[in-house]
Amino acid sequence: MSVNKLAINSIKSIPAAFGEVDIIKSITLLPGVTNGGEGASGFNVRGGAADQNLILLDEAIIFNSSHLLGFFSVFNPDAIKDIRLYKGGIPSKYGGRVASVLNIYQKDGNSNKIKVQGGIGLISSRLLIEGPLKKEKGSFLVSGRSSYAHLFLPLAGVDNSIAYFYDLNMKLSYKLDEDNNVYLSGYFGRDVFDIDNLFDVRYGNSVANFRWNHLFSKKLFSNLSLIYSNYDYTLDFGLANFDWNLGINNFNLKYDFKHYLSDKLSIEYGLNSVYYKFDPGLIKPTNETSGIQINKLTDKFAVENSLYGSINFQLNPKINIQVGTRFSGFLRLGQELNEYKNDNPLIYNSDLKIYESANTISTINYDKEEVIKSFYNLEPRIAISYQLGSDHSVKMSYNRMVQYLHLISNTNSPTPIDVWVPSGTFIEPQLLDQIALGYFKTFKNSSYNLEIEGFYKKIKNRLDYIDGAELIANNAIEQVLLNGQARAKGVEVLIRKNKGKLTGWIAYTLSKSEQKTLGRTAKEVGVNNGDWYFTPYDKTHDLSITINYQVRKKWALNANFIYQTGQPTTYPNAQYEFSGFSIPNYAPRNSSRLPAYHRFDVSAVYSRQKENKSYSGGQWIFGIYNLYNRQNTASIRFQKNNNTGLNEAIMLSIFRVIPSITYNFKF
Amino acid sequence: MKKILYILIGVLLFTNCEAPIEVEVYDSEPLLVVEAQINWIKETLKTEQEVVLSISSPYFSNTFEPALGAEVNVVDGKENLYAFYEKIENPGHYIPLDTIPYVLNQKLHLNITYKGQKYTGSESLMPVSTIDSITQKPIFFFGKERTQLNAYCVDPKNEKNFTFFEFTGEPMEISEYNVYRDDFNDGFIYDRFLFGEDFKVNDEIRFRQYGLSKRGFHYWNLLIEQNTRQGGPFQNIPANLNGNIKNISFPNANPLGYFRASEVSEVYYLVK
Repeated sequence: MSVNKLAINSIKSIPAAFGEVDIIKSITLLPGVTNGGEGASGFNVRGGAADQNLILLDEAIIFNSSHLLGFFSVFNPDAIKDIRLYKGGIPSKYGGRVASVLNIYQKDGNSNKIKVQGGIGLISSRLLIEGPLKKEKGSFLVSGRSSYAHLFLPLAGVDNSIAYFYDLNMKLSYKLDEDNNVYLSGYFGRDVFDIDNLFDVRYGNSVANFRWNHLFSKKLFSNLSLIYSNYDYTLDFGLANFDWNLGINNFNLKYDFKHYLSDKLSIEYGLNSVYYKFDPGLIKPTNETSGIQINKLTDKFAVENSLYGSINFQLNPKINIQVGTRFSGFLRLGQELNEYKNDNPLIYNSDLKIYESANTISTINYDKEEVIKSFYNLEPRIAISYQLGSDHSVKMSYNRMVQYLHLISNTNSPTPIDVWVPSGTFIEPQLLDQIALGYFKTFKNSSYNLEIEGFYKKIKNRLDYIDGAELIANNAIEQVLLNGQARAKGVEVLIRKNKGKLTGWIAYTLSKSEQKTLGRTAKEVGVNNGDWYFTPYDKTHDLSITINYQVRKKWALNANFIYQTGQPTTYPNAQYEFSGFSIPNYAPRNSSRLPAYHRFDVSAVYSRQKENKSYSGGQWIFGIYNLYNRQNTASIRFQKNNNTGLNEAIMLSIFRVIPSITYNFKF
Repeated sequence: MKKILYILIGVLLFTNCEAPIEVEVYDSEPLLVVEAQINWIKETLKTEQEVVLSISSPYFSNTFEPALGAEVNVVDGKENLYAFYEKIENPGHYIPLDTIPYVLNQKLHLNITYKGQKYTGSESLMPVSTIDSITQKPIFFFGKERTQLNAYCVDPKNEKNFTFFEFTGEPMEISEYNVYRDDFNDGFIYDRFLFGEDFKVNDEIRFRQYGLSKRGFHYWNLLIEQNTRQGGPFQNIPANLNGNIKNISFPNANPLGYFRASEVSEVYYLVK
C-alpha cells in the first residue's frame, strides 16, 4: 500500500510545460503528492516538507532535484527505466527521511545492438546512445541533455547573460557469470547562470554507484553498493566582489540481502553506512581591492549507520504480514563548535517579546574523529493486508521514520542556496509516526482500479525559524532555530482505467498539514504564539485528472486537468509609517490563502510506426500547457502604489499558455 | 546581499508576470507607532533629534493618524532628563527642549505616556566609521548605462559593527538603503554601492551611514529586506518588525517602530 509505480512510458505521455517531460511534475498528479507552486523546487508528500523526501537515483542520494530554480527536474526521462514512490508503509530497507522515498532507476543499456534515441524541444534537447560492451554480456548507456533557451534572452532585452542546465547520465552493466552482475551508474548535472558578468551562479549534483549483484542460490541474493554523491554550489558576485562555494559530499556503503525461505515466507536484511561532509561555504574576495576577508564557515561531519531486517509472511491465503525494523545511529563528528552561556544559543527577551541570538562565549575544537553527539533510534515498520475477496482487499500500515539531516530554508519552497545541516548538539533528529489504512478493488478483470487510503502522521522536532531569521551564510544556525512539531492527515482516492483506447486516472486528495512551535518555557511566545499554523504547502483539495486516448495507430491525445486549493500565505492586517516607509503589519503566519490553482493541458502525439508496432524514425508531440491561459497566482506581495498613494496587492503568475513542439527520434 | 540576488533573478525572469489583484484583509486593533531618532553628524556636528508618534491604520485605508498630546522624554546614563514638546505646526512630532549631548555609547532611555499607557525603550548612541571616499563609474546593466557610486569606509577592528546606508537625492525617485555588518570585513575596507538611473552631471546625492546596535541591525535588515523592491519566486515568509520599545501598561500591546540613536557620517556628492 501507499506505493505508486510509474513506468517511463506513462510519464512521457503526460503533457508538460514547454514539452519538457518531467518526472517530478508527473508524480504530483498522483494522490497525496503536491508541490509548493508552479516554479517551486521539490515536491511534498502527504503534507510533508520537500526536504523530507529521500530521492534516490540508482541508490545515490540526490540533494537538489531541480534545474533552473525549480522549473524542471534533473532527471532526463530518456535515461530512466521506471520510478517508485513510497508515500507510507516504507520498507525497513529505507531510512533517513520521514515523508517518502522516490526510487528512480536508470535504464540498462541494450546488450545486443547499438541504439540511438533523442529529442529536440523548445527548451532542451536530448541524445542517448546505448549498446553492447560484449554481446549479451555487457552493455553501456550514455545520455545527455542540455537546454539553450537562454539564447532567446537578448530578445527580452537581457544581454550578455546565460541561463542553462545540462545533464549527463551513464550506466555500464556487465554479467560476470550466471550468479554475478556488476553495474556502474553515474550522473552529472549543472545549472549555470551568468547575468551580465555581474554575478555567476553554478550548482548541481554528481553521483556514482558501483553495484555488485550476487546470487548465492535461487533463494538468496545480495546487492553490495558503493556510492559517492556530491552537491556543489558556487556563487561569484562580481558586484560585491566575493565568491562563495558550498557543498555536501557523501560516501555510502550498502549491503542488502533478500532471502526466500519458503513460498510463504521471505526475509530481507542488510546494512547501510553513510559518511557526510557538509561544507557550508568558503567566502573569498574576487580581487585585491575587495575588502572582503576569506571566511571559512565551519565544515560539519557525520556518519549515519543502519541495520535493518524485515519479514514478509503469507499467514494464510487471505492475510499477508510484513513486519520489520530499522535500527539507525547518527554520529556527529568533530569540528569547531560554539559555546554559549547555559548552552543556550537563542535568548528570549520577554519584555520586547522577541528572540535574539546569544553571543558565543568561546569555541571548542573537536577532532574530526571525535563524536560530539550521537543519536540511536529504532524504526519499527509493519504492514498487514487482508484479502476480502478475489478482487478487493483492505490494508493497514504503521511506520516510524527518523531523519537526521535538515534543509534550512525559510522561503516558501527550497532555493539552490539553502543549506543542509546534520543533527547535533543544537538540532534534534525528526521523528515521524505514520499510520495508514486503505481499501483496494479492481473491476472488470483489472480494467479499473479503485484505491482509497487514509493517513495520519505526527512529527517531532520539526525545525522552525524565529521571525526574520537570517539564514544565508549563517555560521551559527543554532542562534535562529526553534524546535517544533508537525502533523498531517488526509484521505486519498485514486480511480484508474488501465485498458482500452482510453486510459488514465483521477486522483483526489483531501488533507491538512500543519506545524506548531511552542516557546521553550511557558513564558516564551514561540512562533506564531505557539499556535498551530498551516505549512506553506498545505492544500485542502488536490484533484488531478490524466487522460490518454489512442485515437488511431499513429495518433494519441493526452490531457491533464488540475485543481488545487490555493496555498497558505500571510496577509497584512494593518499599516504604519516609519522612516519614510509604509510598512505592512502581518496577520498570523499562513492564515490566509492564495486564489485556487487550476489549469488544463493537452497534447497530441504523432508516431510513425514500423510493422512490429515499435515506432522508429520519429515522433512529433504538439502540446499546449495551460490551455485556457489562467494566470495562476504563484505569490502575492504588498506595496504602496507610488501613483495613487494607496496600498495594493500584486500577484505574480509564472506560466501563461505555452504551446510547444517536440520531436523525438529512435534508431 | 541576498536581497540583491533575488531582485536580479526576479527582475530577469518575471518582470512581465505581475498584476494588481483584489484581496480581502482583516483589520487588527490599532497600535502606537514610535519613530524615534537621535542623529549626530560627525562631519558637521549637527544633530537631528525627533520622536514621531502615530497610530497604525487598516491596510487599504488612505488615512494617516498622528498621535497627539503624548508626554515624551529621554533620560540619559547620568539620570539627566530631557523633556520633549509637541510641535504645534507638525502634530505628532516631538522635539527636545534641550539638545541631548553627543556622547558616544551612552545609554539613553526613551519614555512615552500616551492615552494613559506607558512605554519605554533603550538604545545607546552608536558610533560609526567615516565615509572616506566615493567613487563613480559607468556600468552596463541589461544593456542600459547606469552610474555606479561606491561609498568606502574602514571598519574598526575587534569590535562588532553594524550600520545602514541611506542614499537620497533629487534625481532619485525614492531613497535607497543598504545594511552592513562586519562579519567578513572586520578591520578592513568595506563599501556599499548605489546604482543610479538617469543621473546627470552635477546632480547631488547625499550619502549617509548610521551606526546601529545589534538589535537595531536586525530591525533595519528586516525592514529594508521586506519593504524594498521584492517579488520573484523566493518569497520569505513575512515577519513583523519587533522594535526595542515595550508597553509597560499592557505587555501584549508593544508599540511598532524603533528608538534609534546613531552617530552619522554624511557626504554630499556631485555626480561627475
